[in-house]
Amino acid sequence: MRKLLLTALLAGFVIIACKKKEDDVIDPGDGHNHSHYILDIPPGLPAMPIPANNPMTEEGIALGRKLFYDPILSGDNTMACADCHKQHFGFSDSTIQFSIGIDRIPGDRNAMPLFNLGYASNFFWDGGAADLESQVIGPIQNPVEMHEDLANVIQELNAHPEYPELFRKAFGSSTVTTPMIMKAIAQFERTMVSGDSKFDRVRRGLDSFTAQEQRGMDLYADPFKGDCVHCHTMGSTFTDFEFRNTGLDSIAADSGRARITLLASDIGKFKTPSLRNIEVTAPYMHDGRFFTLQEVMDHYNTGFHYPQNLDANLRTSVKGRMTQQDMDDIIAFLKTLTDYNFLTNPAFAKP
Amino acid sequence: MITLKSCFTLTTGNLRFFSYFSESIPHIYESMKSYSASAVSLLIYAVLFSIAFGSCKKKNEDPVPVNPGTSGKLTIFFRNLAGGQEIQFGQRLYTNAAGNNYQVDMLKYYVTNVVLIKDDSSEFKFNNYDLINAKVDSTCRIYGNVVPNGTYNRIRFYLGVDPVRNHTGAQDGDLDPVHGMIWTWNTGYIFFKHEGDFMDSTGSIEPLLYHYGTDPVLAQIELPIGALRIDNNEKKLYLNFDLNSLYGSTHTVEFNGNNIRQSSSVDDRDWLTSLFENFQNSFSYDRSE
Repeated sequence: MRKLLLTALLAGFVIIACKKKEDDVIDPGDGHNHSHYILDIPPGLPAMPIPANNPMTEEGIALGRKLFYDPILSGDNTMACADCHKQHFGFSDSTIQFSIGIDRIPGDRNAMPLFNLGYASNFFWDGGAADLESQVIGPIQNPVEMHEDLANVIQELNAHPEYPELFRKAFGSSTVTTPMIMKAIAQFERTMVSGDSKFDRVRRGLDSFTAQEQRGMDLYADPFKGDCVHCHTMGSTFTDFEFRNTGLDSIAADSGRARITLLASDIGKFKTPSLRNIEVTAPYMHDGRFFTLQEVMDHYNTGFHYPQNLDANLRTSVKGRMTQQDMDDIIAFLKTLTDYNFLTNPAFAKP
Repeated sequence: MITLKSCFTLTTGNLRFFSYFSESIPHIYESMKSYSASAVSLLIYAVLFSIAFGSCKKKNEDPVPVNPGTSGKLTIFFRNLAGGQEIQFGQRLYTNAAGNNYQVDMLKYYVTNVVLIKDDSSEFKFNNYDLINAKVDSTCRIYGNVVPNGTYNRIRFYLGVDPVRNHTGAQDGDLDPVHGMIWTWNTGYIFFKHEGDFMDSTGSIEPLLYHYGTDPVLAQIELPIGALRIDNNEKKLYLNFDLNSLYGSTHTVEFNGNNIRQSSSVDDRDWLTSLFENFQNSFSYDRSE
């Protein structure tokens, strides 16, 4: 029995040894070991799935960060990702409704904030990008954004005095390719974790809500008042990552999710955004039509329309169910979701 | 989408698996200590350790063994035609079934997962992802360097990229986004691209831009190829692709009012379905030699 147990344990150890080794060492075959990066996930947020084909490394993240802030990725080398995704605004574009591209043409959707992206399984307001890596090449090529040709970027990066060596350190080859750019920026973006707001600290027993914030949280969850939790799930990511038509218009001007699925039932549906850092990511909605949280509350309280695809939760919501005090309280609660440490973390700033 | 989700689930599952076991290591180590006091045992462990780490080394993957006398080579040529004629780019020489006079400035498409089927129904898979650019002859060939001997009478392939590879752009080779065959707002490859122009019903020249793709319209093509005999030799298989069949075999595709199409609107569905069904009849076997 003892021998049997010992053998079983050793067999287990053999397996562990193998798995552990595979997990820790990232060797792309250039004889250069890359430093495995362990994401520091704050309590309250789940473990983040990292795709097997793009493990996080210090070198990859540093490269992604440099690229994120480098206008070399745009057509005329004047605009970086960071120009429309500013850290102090939760990596959204300050108070601009539609960001302006390099050709001075505005886009048609509001620049999305960037944080906790590793928990999402699709990106953009309509979920068109199927992984974070693939999202990267959207804005770079979009004519109303950075308007650049991938072949041109590759050529510029390969001719650059620093980049080939940085790519070699990150991916083992100094010949820059598109997938490497995509992977590096995705790695950096996965490090942008926000989970240290007042709400989180209250959850950890390190802080306490004011009476108004507490009332706001209760109203947020109250199905006959705010009723926010159906979509903006309480805690963790504050989104269910689903697509919904929230009745912004009786006939949607933007087909939304239907552009991806080609289904009439998806017309006017957009991704539920996270409410973390909502205080600093104005304007709101996919088209940035609301500039204040009060306008958003008014929409959900009395302003929504009844298009065919209106979300079922809203269809059954009674108009005028919230008083002004209720809405003030909910807004006070929403402001506890601002994560100042995230907004000022030097690890995400321009390198 | 389904495939992608299941991939993510797997990854998460594996991560949990790792963390579960790494947390268990100290406990196992403690139990081991209680069972092994003597130096002899330690020696045994040392040996087992080295076996453990030795077993972790990746085995060098041998190339597919090539036994002389069991295989040959096959090159598959795709000839790109319009109305039976080799396409001449930039000239409005062609007329589709709807009577639209059109020209081709660009013609590119993916041919992937080529399978040769023997007369006994056994299959040989190429596992390939090839982008064919009709303008560049060298891209219009797919190479099978080690094709097992036998008589093949059918070929099967996808016009497009299968869902396993269609949900990310972070891929190399012919799937590298640098080739411009991936949508930027909707992750997925443009399976087929025809850009050019046509003369509309009022006689004016209008652009023609057809970008076809997305999982539901991944077209599987299967064709008879005579009796292609691979017998330690080098063979060539010629297949034809004809644009006029694509625009007029089962469904007649009218360019008027239908000249800019890609997968981005509910209105694109009929066009996608027409092309999907027409693709089945757009490829044909020409000859082998």
